[in-house]
Amino acid sequence: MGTTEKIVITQPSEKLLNLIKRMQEKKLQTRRDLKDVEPMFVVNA
Amino acid sequence: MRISFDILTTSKDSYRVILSSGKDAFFATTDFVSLIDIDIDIVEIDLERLSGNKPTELKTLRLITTKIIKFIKQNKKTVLYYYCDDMSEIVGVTKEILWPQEYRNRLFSLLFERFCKNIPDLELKDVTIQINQVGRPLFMHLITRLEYVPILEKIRNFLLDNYGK
Repeated sequence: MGTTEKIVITQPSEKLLNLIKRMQEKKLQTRRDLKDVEPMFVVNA
Repeated sequence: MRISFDILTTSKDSYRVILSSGKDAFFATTDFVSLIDIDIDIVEIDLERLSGNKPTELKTLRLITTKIIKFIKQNKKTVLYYYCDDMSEIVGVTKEILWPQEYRNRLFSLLFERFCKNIPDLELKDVTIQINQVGRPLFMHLITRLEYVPILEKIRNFLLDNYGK
């Protein structure tokens, strides 16, 4: 069973936009690090 | 906490799935930590393509979802958090058709709904947060078991009261 809800922020504050920017930078760093970090396990699809 | 695994497809495409929590996570900022007054992990889901350029097959998405659901079954006191990547394109989908983050958002919601139908013993809630940044929307998802829904409600209300309208 699952329930869903959606909220929409139409006027994001500067604080929220800064947090998002930080998160995007973290994501890019994760992407850059991918080749240097071994996975814990591998699964065949 | 950090768990990472790779998925290799028969067509030789590969993906990395990372589940992580820690002080650098989005909801680990002081504001949110002081808001959540019980011991619960907020775990970020990262999904990255490592190689290949074929559209992601449904069976691969199903496998990823299965692993994530298994994680939340084994780690009850968890809120899963997924930011729909807006920085990399999706094979076969152009911005003129749909923003990549919007595509990921729709796909994630669809997978959640389909998967939940097949696991009646596990009750989950998925909250989609859409942020209308200038010129393009951004999307995040928060998922937890029903007993921790009050935490999602706290986060939702806090976001609306303090981070925008």
